[in-house]
Amino acid sequence: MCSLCAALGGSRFWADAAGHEAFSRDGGKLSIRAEREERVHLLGRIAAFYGVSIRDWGGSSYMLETESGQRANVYTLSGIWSQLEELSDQPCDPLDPALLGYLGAAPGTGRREP
Amino acid sequence: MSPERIHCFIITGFLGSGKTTLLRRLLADPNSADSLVIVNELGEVGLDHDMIAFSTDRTVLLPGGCLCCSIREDIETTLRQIFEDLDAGRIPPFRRIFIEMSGIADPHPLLCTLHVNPYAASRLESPRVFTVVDGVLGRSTLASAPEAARQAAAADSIIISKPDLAMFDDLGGALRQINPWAPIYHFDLLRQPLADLLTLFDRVAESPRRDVECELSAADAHAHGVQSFALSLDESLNWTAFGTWMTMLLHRHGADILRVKGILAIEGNPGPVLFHCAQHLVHPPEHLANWNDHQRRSRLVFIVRNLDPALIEQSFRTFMAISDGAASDFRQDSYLAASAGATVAGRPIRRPSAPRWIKG
Repeated sequence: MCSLCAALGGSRFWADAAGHEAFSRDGGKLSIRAEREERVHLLGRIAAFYGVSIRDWGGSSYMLETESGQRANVYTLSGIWSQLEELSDQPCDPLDPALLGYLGAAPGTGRREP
Repeated sequence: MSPERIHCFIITGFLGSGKTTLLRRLLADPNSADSLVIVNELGEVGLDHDMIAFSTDRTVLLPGGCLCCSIREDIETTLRQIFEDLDAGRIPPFRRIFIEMSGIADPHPLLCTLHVNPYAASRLESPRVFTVVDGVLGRSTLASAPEAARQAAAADSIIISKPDLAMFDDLGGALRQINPWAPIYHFDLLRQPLADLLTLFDRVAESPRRDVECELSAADAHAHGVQSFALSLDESLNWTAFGTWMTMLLHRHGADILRVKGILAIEGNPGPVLFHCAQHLVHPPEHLANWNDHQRRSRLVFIVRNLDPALIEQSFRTFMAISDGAASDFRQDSYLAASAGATVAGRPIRRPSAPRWIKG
């Protein structure tokens, strides 16, 4: 349990590879830190389209922040999307051609305006 | 030692397709004496229950509602009662549970319930869905009733009843379009030897759910916008990117992603990873030691409703492409410390996570 916010630790999510013996990276173990760094980077690329930044908070949750400073703390990967929709007031659709165009282009260009 | 897991079969199919006939025939086999039956019916009068009651004295009726929505708690209560009675010796041991669903029920919520219910998760094998399709009316039912299409999409095995009366209207092709995996059996439920039916159920229960190879039908049978398609990728996938993409896709379109099955080549992993989900329900990924005879490449098969396969493929490839070099591109400010000295929303965190005298 987190002593700061009294949140119980979440159970393993299906997409979590770190700590899973069957998942490895070229024979070596995949650390939780490395996996979260990679995930936060990917999430950051996507969330930037909606004008939101994502950071790993303490290695146990994700901190979403809008440009106006509004923040939300999310514990699970699946929970990020609904929170992202709430903060950006836009539907987060991976099939949105505008998002796909943004992700396919050079980083930092073509952000969706709210 | 933990007790042996019990095989669980869900029998679904549209109204009048022959579910109860199938169940009655199954229970008429003396070898099915060690089976328990749960019947879900829509309506006040449990007609199906009366029809099969003589076959077994271990039948539980879930009355007055459709299993898909209103009485999900009832199946949990029923399972708890069953296992408490079993453990207390009040009912004899059994090897199989048959759950007959009402004709208009979507099997997905029941699958979710069985996935999360502690009794089901710890005592039952992964449930296998048998969908009975009427050989005469099946084609028109698939076109007119969205429930029938969902039942066919959820199937692990499909049984076409009344094959002797069946018209030559390519029912098999229409079913293949909705569900490219499930083997299709043609059974005359009234005349088929009893042993064939129970043997089929037991064989399906014993077989691993690993076969992602399938035939994709070219039949133009988009029942209610339901269709199947396959994606393949020769390069190894980044698992983190795949998980991110799939959670985002299921968040937005989970209700229309009826099923996904995949065999995935993951970066850094020698063997394939099997992926399986039904709407929002994702099964834990399964790892195999090696590829055996399969070529090392990722292959995903989707059954979707009212979604554009080309757009899903474009999205999939775009997300996989942005994962390249993700870890090396990580910025230090992406990590926010949660310990004393850090700040949250501009306010300092004053309380350390552990006193200094404990930390040493």
